[in-house]
Amino acid sequence: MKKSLVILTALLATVATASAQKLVIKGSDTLGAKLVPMLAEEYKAANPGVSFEIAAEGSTTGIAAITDGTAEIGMSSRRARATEVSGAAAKGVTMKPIIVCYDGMAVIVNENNPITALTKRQVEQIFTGDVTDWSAVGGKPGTYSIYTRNTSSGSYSDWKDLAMKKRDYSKTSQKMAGNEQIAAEVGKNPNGIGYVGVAYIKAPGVKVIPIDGHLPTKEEVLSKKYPYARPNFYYTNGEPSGEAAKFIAFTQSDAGQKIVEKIGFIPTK
Amino acid sequence: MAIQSLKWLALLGGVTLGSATLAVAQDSGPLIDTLVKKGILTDQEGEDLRVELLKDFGTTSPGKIDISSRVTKLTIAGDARVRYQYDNEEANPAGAADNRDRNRYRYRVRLGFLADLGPKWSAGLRFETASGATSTNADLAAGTDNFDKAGDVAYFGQAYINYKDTGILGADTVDVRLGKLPHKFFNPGVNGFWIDSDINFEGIAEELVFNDVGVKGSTLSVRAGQFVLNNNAANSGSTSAATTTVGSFSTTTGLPTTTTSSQNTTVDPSMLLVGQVEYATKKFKVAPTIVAFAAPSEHDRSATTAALQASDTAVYNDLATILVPFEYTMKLGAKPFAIYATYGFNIEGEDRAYRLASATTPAQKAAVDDDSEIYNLGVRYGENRLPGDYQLVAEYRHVGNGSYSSLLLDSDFNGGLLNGEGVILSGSYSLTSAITFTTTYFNSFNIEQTRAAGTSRGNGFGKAQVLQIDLSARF
Repeated sequence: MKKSLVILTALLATVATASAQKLVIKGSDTLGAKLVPMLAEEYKAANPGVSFEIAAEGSTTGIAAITDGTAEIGMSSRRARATEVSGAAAKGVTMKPIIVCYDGMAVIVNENNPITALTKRQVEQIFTGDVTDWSAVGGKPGTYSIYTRNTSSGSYSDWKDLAMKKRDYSKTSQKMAGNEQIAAEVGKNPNGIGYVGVAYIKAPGVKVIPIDGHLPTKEEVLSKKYPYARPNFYYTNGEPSGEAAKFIAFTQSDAGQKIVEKIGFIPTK
Repeated sequence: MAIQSLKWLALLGGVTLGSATLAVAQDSGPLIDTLVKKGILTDQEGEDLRVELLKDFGTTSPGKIDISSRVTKLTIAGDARVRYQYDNEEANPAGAADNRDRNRYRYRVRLGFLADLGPKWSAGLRFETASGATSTNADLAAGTDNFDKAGDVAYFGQAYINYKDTGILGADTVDVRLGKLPHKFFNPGVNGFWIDSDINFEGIAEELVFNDVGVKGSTLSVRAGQFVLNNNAANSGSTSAATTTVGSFSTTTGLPTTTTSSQNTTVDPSMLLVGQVEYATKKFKVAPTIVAFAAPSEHDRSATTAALQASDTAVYNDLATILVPFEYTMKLGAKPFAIYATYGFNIEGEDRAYRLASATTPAQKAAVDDDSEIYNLGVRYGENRLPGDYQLVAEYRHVGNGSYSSLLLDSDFNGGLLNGEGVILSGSYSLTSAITFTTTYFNSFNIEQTRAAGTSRGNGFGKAQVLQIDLSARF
């Protein structure tokens, strides 16, 4: 009888531990500010025993967390770099990228700015500092205020690759902590310009500028006509397993992709 | 499933067979993008493939090298040389007893690293054998006779930070270097004429280049350098010297009182200043230049009197040499042919000649030939780039005893000393694009034959001959 009680207690403890499983997700602010918390809420509603720890401090931190083993899922708005992949492999970690949604990095200006279109070349000139005044691209005279993400952000490096031919940002550019901060600054500043994920283009006071005639719509992004389109990722160590695999499957499911679309990102299907 | 597997196998196999380098791993990005756009791969398959290629790269030899993420490009380059050298030097005047005749077997290694740190900044580092400013040669068996390593030492020959920009002062390119640096002054001649090719200046150098000035394809380069010859820190302490205090007498002996006071405590650095304006087209270059010393008047603590200070050869002044190097290049047959020359004159040559001859009295000064002229004239035919290429050079040099400084002159001609003139003949043959065989002969004579020998380096040799036979490898 005594023995049976011990076994029962142990079994209950095991079940309790399993049912209180915590999923640690770290990385991109683009994904981690809105999308992943909302996915987590929905997932928790269906799986009450699961808790989440979400830290959105930039894609670099997400990829590093997979290498270090401090997270089950790393969120990233950019691809892992060669050094990150080979560095992880050296530690026995296999980087596994999983596309969870698409994003179009939108060029935003203040809604009172008369500019209605830009070319890729003009965008490069503005963000690198080759030109410093709106009149150089057909706007009202006034010095640009350029808002960018900070250096640990995947968007920061993706923008250099996609829009600036890997050149350096203008010395006058101001680094912001997240998409929301960029949108807020541009909304307040008539001479402001910045880039944000499509989930943030409805911020007050801003408007999206077409680039070479293309806007970051679902069709333009999926057809890859929009020049600044990119996939967003979860990274795991090898094929995902356990609760992480279930959460990733939920993200990729119809229900998950509906949330993706609701937040403003572009779903994979 | 079988089709999918074949697709993967073909792509991976193609890339792997091509090469397993980072370049291939990264260059396959556009290929993957194209395959995705054409619908051959899905986006997810493309991403998996990218990671697979990068992961595999990590197992290759280059993939195991980890370079700081701050370095955008790293260039490693250098050279190695083995040399037989014969020297025959006779003291001044020619025919003096101490005729030096020696054979040396030498080597040198230079290994350099240049790290680009973004679009405008870079840093350079180079290790070199030998510690002298004008030589990178180490002698084989220079120490004991048991193959020790006492003389086999690597020194920092270069360690500098480089900033490059455009648009400053309207220039098309701007180059600023700080530290122990390679210079860019135009200096035609075998081994460099008025700047020995082994010299790496210490200080700061600037260059502004303006393109298409007057003629399309031409450049106007304005260069300047402020270099520290000696920080004189060794002279910062005071030397006690006995002096007599006027009007003061000892109460015990009744003799004038003797006290001690400090002498020559200056710590101002001795500087070398160089300025050059070069105008160059595809065929010719001309570059008016000034080389000057700027030094504190008192340098050596041991020189406690005006007379000693006047003849202190370590004082770096009395040099303001204006030089005009020139070169004209044309094709002779299929090979380049160049005529080059330099004419220079030290406008403080008389004072320099007096100092180097330790001439402080009128009688001594009257005996000094204050030759302030320095010049060379040379022809060069051919070049060493590809296997089978050759180059022939003949050059005449004249270096007057007040014209310049032995600190800067090519150390192979006349021992790098003043008061010498003579010829240099050189021929080189490229065994491969990296391996070159070179023979060079230097033959110099003193200009002022009657000048008395002293301790100064400025005296020069009576005669000097050097034969060098080199096998060089660049990597």
